Amino acid sequence: MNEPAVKVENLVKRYKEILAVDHLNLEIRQGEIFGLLGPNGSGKTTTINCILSLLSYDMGDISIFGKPMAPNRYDIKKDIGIIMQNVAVFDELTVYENIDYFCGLYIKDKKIRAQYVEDAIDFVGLNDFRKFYPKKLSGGLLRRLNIACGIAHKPKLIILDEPTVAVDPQSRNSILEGIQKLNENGATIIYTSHYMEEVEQICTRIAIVDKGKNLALGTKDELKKLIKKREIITIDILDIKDSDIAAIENLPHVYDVTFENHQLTILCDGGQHNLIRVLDYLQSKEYSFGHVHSELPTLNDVFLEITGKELRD
Amino acid sequence: MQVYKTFFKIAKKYLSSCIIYFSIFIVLLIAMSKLGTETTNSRFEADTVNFAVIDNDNTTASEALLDYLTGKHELVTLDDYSNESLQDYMYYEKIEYVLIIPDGYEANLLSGKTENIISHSMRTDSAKGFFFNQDVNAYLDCLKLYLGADYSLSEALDATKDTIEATADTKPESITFEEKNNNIVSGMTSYFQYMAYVMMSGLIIAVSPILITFHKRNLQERLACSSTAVRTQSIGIGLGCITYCIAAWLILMVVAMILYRPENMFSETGLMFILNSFVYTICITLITLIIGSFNLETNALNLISNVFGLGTSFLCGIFVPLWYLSDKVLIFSQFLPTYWYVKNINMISGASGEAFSKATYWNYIGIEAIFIAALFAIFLLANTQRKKKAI
Repeated sequence: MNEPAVKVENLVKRYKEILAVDHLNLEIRQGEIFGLLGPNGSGKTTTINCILSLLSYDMGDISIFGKPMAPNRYDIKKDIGIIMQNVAVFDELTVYENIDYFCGLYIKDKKIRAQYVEDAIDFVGLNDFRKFYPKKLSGGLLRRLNIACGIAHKPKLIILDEPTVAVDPQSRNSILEGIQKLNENGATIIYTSHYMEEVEQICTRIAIVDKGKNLALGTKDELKKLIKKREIITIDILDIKDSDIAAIENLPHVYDVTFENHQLTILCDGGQHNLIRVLDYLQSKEYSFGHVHSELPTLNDVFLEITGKELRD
Repeated sequence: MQVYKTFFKIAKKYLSSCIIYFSIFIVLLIAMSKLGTETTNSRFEADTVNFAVIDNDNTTASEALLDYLTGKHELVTLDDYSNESLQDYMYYEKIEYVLIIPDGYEANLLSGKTENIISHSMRTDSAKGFFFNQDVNAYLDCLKLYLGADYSLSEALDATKDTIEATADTKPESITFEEKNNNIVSGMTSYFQYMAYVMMSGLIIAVSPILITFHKRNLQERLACSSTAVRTQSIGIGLGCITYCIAAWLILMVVAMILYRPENMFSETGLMFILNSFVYTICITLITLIIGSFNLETNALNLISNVFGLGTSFLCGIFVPLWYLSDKVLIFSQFLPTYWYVKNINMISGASGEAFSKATYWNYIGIEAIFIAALFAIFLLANTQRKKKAI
């Protein structure tokens, strides 16, 4: 059986009185894209820094590919690629020189390194910009360079800490596609973000963290099953009697009905054909209605229900 | 090696401004050191003093004295010899010295009286009067010796004239020889003195930005995650810094070789200057490394470069000689390595009047070495603090 790519057991990290990470447990399997989802200040980056041994911690154990992690475990570090939220490249070096420098910190053989640098440039699509200095690159291209510097040495574990912050939608899509491609090539990915859509789009498993605690962990479907709300139906309607609202509330799987600003909102806790049942009832009472919308819960709903607050608070 | 090579790739980006900086300084340095040489030259040039005489004795002895002085200096005949007029003539620099030979001068000489047998008046703000005084005293001392040895007045006057002339004949040769060496030593003194300022300002401006680049927080995190040990990276950066500083020092040494010729540079004095500057370069390298440990902006770096460069230059005797500085300033200056570097230069060249001694030379080098040890400790401390802050 494969060792987990990363195993965090009972991790505690304090900054004086502030408890940044509170008895956190994580097990990240090899080959998956693992999402660490939480609002700003929830302890995601602290956890990542502890995993990378950039920070000392008060309690707990961290192992990577079955080996205990420590600041001087360079044998483990050679298999890790890190892409931080802020672009970390040398302004004084060209695109090629930057990638070559960071790759050179891991790969000593010049020939292999040259090949790896070429591969990284190809991967992020910076072939036409290899002699450009970072200041001449657009924000999106700069992010790509940042990624290339982190993955050039072909690491088995890639950690991306909010890589899409302040990135335009086009570059964001390109970055997300790139991450999926890296995963297809065999790398385990840890992806931290407070953008639930991104995490939902690419991650195979997700941990929701807040105040340094792991609140929930599973696939996105597993997480959504954790909450009562499964379907939200909204119907534009001019007016409706209170007795009819009460009647809709008594329909199977419906647990909450509200009417505000000519909009009827019905929350269902599962089941099938909820929308048809509601529409049949309204038609039977000869209500005329406009726009009808049914949506499944998002991770934000999961987060809202688990923590009682919006993800982007 | 990867870090070391990258250090110089980054250094290339700052090289143009560094070259401009160093070139301007080298030109100024050469000009300043040449200026220093010329000043010394003029000091040794034979010079004449415009003087007037009030001879109230009018004897053979007084005429002989006048004869001697007229041969060396310019006797000015005045229309009016009143006190007020003489003061006016001196004020308007028509004359610089008035020799007053009182009545009884010859008689006093013959009676063996030696004190206050002549008097004078001179400008106090000019060194020329003192040189004139020296000539008068030399003549009188010699004359007194012969008279004391029972020479007759005429014999003593003749013997004094011969002796003084013989001394004068040998002097020019020895002066020319001394002057030649003094010119070079003086030039080298100025060069090595101003070099301290160039090295301090230039290297802080040129090397610190490279160090600051490496120490940027974002980069530090990425570098700390890599499989190359942080210590290996630090060694690469440190070696790059040392190589850069020593290369800059070597360039300045080559310039010095061109200016003062290798035979002078490899003389004992030259080698002492070279070793002194090398030890000082290590001090500057460490100061640069310490400054580079802080995450400074370019403006702050320029400010620090100026504060360090100009501050130490004024406090430690580069721009203002040490003997013009107050005792309080000197007490503070002693806590700066530049002070001991300059003090050593002054001692080697004899500019400060401090007697040269090899033991003192090595003492000063030793003090600079203590500064190196202290700066290295500060560097280690600053580096540790920076690493702690980086995360």
